Amino acid sequence: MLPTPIGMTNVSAVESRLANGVPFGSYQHISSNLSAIYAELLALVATRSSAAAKLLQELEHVDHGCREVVFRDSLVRRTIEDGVCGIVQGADAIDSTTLDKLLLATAEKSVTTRRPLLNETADIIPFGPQDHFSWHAWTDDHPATPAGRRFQQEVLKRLPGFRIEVPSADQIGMLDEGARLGLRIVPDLVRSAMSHAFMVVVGEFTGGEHHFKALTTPGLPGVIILSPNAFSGAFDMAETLLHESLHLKFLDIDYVSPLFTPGFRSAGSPRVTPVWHQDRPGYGNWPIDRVLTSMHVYLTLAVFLENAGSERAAQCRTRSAWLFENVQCHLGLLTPAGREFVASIGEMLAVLSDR
Amino acid sequence: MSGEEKVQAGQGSRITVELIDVLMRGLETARSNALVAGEETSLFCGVAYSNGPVSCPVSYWHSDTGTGEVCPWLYTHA
Repeated sequence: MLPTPIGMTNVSAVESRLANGVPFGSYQHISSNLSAIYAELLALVATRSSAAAKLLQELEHVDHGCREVVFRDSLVRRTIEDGVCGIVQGADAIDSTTLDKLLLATAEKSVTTRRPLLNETADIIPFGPQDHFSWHAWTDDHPATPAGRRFQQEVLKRLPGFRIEVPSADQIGMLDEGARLGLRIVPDLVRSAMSHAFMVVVGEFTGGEHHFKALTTPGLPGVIILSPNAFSGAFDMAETLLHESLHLKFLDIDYVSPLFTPGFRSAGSPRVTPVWHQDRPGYGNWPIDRVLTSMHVYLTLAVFLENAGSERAAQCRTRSAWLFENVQCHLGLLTPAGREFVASIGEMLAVLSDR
Repeated sequence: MSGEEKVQAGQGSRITVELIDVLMRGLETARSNALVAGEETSLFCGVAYSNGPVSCPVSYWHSDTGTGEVCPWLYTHA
């Protein structure tokens, strides 16, 4: 594949749609719907938990902005989801004592201060401009509260063998530089994407057998995991934060507008091997959810890199287009919203190709 | 009342069967710690690393090949 250059004329139109379009771009749209969803989920948990009922009652007396802050906290989201999965599916996700402790702490500390629960209960450091939602780095090596400990446990449950590290002052500085640089390159796009990120956790896998740079995982909404290897420079960090935030945005879109038909699981999914990995055994075999999120990331990076003057922009556009074409025979796995999501990517790719 | 009936009971509710499935997918990632890396299971995605193919416990995983490229995802996994 020899990518053709992107015409600059239409980049801003795609940037605007990726950042502000409804229903798949606008953070405001997605966030307000997420708040409404978590309020309903909390009401369901409140049928079994007095702490959930108290939190619900407290939230009735605050404005939308405060509710958005409360529900932006990754641990609060995880806790409510665990409660719901227990009620609806009988899942053994959280014991009632822990659930009550965490939701009570949210009612007493988060709602009254209008700050996320983890701001009040764990050592975390904000980074990036403070004019919007701030992003945080996890710096608590010995969490002293149930909330802090639960957050740490939830991360480690999903990453066997992972060791959380306290980032250095230099690493915090690079997170800050990366966020600010990204906002200078594509302000609306980076702000919109990074609003879906809440916490950066730094660490490595013990034993050294898993090499990675950055990752996100379903079930940890708003959480980016970074390896020390990711701290190689401000531009790299800007791209990494945007890249991971896009995965988190994709996950949030899936809450608001579920993209996959019920029962879809990565393991049972048909597989797609990107053409650029055909001769690299082990690198392909992507399930369809990965194809969708990668298509979304590539398109966004094409805009980001074009604005940054990088020659990789055209390659990203080409790869997004390849994934778009190859997902067409798997649309049966998607809901109407999922098909609309794919179609919207196709429309933006067409705009980028229209020189 | 089954879980599905509970979900569908609320007229106009945002808590749909599809949403519960999204929540369950997120919950299932917490159970991967009981599994052994390298197995193909419902919770792992097969991804290759610079030091050989293994399975990773998360869906969206980026490898660092040590090549110094700006975004390893672009050149290795994606």
